[in-house]
Amino acid sequence: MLADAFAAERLRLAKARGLLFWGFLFVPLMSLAFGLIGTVITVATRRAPGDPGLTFAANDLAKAASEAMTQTDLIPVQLFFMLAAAGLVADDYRWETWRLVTPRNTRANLLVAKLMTFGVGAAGSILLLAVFSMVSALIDGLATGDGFTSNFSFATDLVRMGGSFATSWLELIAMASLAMLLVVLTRNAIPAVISAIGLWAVQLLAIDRIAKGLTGPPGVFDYAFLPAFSADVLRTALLAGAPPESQPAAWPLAFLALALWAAGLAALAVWAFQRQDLTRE
Amino acid sequence: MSIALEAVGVGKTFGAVKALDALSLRIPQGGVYGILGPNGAGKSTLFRIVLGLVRPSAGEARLLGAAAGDIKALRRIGAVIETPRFLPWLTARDTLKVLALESGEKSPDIDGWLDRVGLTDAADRTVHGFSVGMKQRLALAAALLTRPEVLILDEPTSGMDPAGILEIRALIRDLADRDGVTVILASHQLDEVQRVCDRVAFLDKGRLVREGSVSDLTAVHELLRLTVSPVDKALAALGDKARVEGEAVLAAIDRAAAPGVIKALVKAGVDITEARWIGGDLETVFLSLTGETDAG
Repeated sequence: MLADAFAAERLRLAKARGLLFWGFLFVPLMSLAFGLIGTVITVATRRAPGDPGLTFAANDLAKAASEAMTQTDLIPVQLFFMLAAAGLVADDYRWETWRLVTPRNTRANLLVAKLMTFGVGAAGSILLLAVFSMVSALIDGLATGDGFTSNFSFATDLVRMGGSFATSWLELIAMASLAMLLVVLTRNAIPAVISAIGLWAVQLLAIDRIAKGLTGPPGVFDYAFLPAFSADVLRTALLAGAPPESQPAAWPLAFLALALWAAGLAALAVWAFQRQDLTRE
Repeated sequence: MSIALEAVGVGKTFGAVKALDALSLRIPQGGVYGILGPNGAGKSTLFRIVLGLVRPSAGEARLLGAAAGDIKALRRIGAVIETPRFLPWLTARDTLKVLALESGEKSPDIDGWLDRVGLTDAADRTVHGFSVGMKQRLALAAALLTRPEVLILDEPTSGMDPAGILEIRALIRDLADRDGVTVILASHQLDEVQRVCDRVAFLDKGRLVREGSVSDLTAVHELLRLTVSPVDKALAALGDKARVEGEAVLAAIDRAAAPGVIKALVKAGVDITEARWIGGDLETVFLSLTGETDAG
């Protein structure tokens, strides 16, 4: 039955071109566009190689992909994903179509299917970010003459790329669960999106304060209180050159905290939806 | 006798408004069952409770023997509740595809149902451009997609043209007679209900006022209207069963007694220029029942 609902949601999303584009395709395309624009500007303005004081590094494709996948921690990027998550649920309230679907499948399945569909879309979007960043780095390397590296280290690069993907995806799932919960409670997309983004932005401010106040490894309370902090710790663990004050000590705990936030918020959304009277959706 | 829908002391309150007030009703499987009542009588609320869209404040509702909202029972029924609403960017065909997937229907006859409700030509148009009547037809197709045992229809012909109303009426009767579907329909169109339904229930202010077969309910309120001369002789022959209304005499008798009554009038020297039955319709029943509840 969950499989039925999931199949239906995927078909719905495939036909909702606006949601599909703005929610999942716009960010990777913009990332590619900005990369290409950067290359054009670099080529147009850079002084010739060999000038004293200037060194140019080859583009590391694997590193570019890993870093691109962490762009989901940017608030403007998160906004588009949250519009998608909220839209998947809010459309049934806006168009009063819950009366058509709730007699056909359980409410839990219907909402979980929407989250799963978001998960598929988000995964695809993050992978596109990685692919486009590699394309952009490749073009940059060729256009600027800096070249690019393609020495792929399984131990380092695959773990880093896989970890970046998993961290970003899990963080987006947690945010989407929050957005869906807020849509169920408010029956409206916009307050849900604004609130979800707002709550995550507040965490980013708090992260900075907590990191500066730490004298040792982050504690359980730090992870549990701020899911965005957990994601930040995981990213730092995966990417080289992190500031000393963000050195992670317990990334498995951070991963678990993030996963629990995602599951907990999703469970809360399902619980609220199951108890809701659908008179005027 | 299998029961399609059962309500036992069902109550529902929305804030200060009591939409249903200890409603008890049993609708058997088979045939077409009408639920009538003025606006605010509780018809749609009852359907929403049975479909699991809202929870009752009191009592219990059951659908095909299972608790209201039970998904296994719900998958054996189809429903059209209030004004049909769809995602406007989907075509009619895609709408049915999505709904078939939600229902777990593996081999939906989408084209067949679109044809049966008269939407073949509009199958690949987005719902955004559909008229109210077209949306009603699509809602009906969506409700029938899973070949339900019970079909719940809330104002199924609302917004349709006269030809469309006749088509839907014929389809409803066909579903009941040929396919064995139990149809439960709520409507303001009393004439339509009288033509289509076998049994009806009257709701008013959230309560059941009367329930029974259409023929039994309408027979109680039937009158024989006689244009006669002289009127006083006719009244004397008919006794307290008759009264004068305008230029006619109205006799409250049943159809079986009519031939004897007419013979008695002729024997008494009364000339009868016209005799016809009036008032044997649900409108008269409806007005008399809702008038009783207002007074009571």
